[in-house]
Amino acid sequence: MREEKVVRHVLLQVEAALDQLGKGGSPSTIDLRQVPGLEAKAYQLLKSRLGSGEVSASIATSDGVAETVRAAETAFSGVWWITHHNGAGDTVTEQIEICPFPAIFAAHPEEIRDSAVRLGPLCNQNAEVEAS
Amino acid sequence: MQRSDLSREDATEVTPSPELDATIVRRLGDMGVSRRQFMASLTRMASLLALPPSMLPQLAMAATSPTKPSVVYMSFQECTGCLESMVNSFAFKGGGTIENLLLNVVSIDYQETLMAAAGAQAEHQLASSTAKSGYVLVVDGSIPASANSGYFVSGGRSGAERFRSAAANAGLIVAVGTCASFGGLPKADPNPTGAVSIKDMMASLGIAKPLINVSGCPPIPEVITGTILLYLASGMPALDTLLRPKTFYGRTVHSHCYREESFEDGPRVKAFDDAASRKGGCLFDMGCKGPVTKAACSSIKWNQGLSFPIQSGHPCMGCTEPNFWDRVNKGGKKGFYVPLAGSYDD
Repeated sequence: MREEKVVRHVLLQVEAALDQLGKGGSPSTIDLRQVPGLEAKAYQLLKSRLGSGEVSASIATSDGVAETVRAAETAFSGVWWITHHNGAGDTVTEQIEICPFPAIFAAHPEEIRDSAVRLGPLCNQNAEVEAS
Repeated sequence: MQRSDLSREDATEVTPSPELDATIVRRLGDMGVSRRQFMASLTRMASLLALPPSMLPQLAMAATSPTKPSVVYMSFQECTGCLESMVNSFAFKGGGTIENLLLNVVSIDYQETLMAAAGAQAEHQLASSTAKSGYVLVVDGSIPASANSGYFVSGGRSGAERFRSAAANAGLIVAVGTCASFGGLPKADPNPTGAVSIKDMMASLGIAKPLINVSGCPPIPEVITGTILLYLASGMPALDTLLRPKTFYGRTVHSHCYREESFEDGPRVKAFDDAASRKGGCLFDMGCKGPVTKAACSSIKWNQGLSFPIQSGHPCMGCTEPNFWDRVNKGGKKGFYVPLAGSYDD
């Protein structure tokens, strides 16, 4: 069956990427929109083969009304199913990311430094309130 | 199945996951744009453009660059369909800050249809935009080879003369659409205006500049903007023998077509709306030119990935290929509904 061939192909790629990550290599990504022949049947088969894990996370739009990105751990640790939505909530693209945790969710070092700077005045404000 | 069994056509690209450097994150912070929303938006765009996720940092750098490359967009013998297509590539749902940021990745300094200026003011704008060097000259439409043909005269100058002066200081020329890339409809038999492609016009005028052809009637919106983004992010993209970016023109419509299975095993469509047609059968016998047409229609699709002509039950007309209006098919006949000559056991 064509869909079986497509799914096995993707799983082999995931296996190779996991192997690389396990040996200290870099995270990697497969854009499912660019997988040749991943039509509805193959898509469903791939999703069921990878299953679901314990963790999920999402990023909301700036107004918090809709989800723009959702990451769900699969049954295989280190393999994440990422779904991207547009402003109307339609699925635009999906990816499989092979990593400890998708980088888009983790705070960037630059943002952490910025947080420390922004938190400073708040600490001083609290100190002034306590002193008075 | 072993890894060695994977054919090149089946290859799925596994790329390093993207990470933004501190410069880009700081720029986004200065702009008041959320890094996560920006990354999500770029990821969606890269996916639509069929670009590898590893290119995201370069795209991000281009999209947040404080200097915007100048684009001069000139139209010649065309129908404005290509411009319409390009403008539609910005019609992403939502249209918030991030989309505007991507929209503003270039500065379109001259475009006759979009700009408010007309007449002498427009000519002045063209002169000042092309006085600087290094801009990207986007051209749609073909041009009459002869400067004295009487066809296509604008602002008192022939198409050849307008193109020659506009190309003089350009750093890159992008021929958008099949008319600019290969001559298209104006060049089709009997070619009353003596139209030629931009490549041929450049050769006859002795203009030696980098040229990218983005063919299609019209090209897919994301392919037009994607080509410009690719160039801004990483310089001249790899081109095929017809000077088209391999990223978008590397495969035939047939190779990604969901009806390809019935090309081999049948049943193929023998008449529009027959039983095979309703079941999504292959349209080869209805004149589909997918097997010889390099385009991303069956992978990127149209209208934000909604559909493409074959999915709507119509055969591919082969509009990204040279001389597609005059292609000689089976039995020596021309026509969009005449099957291709020869066999195509893909």
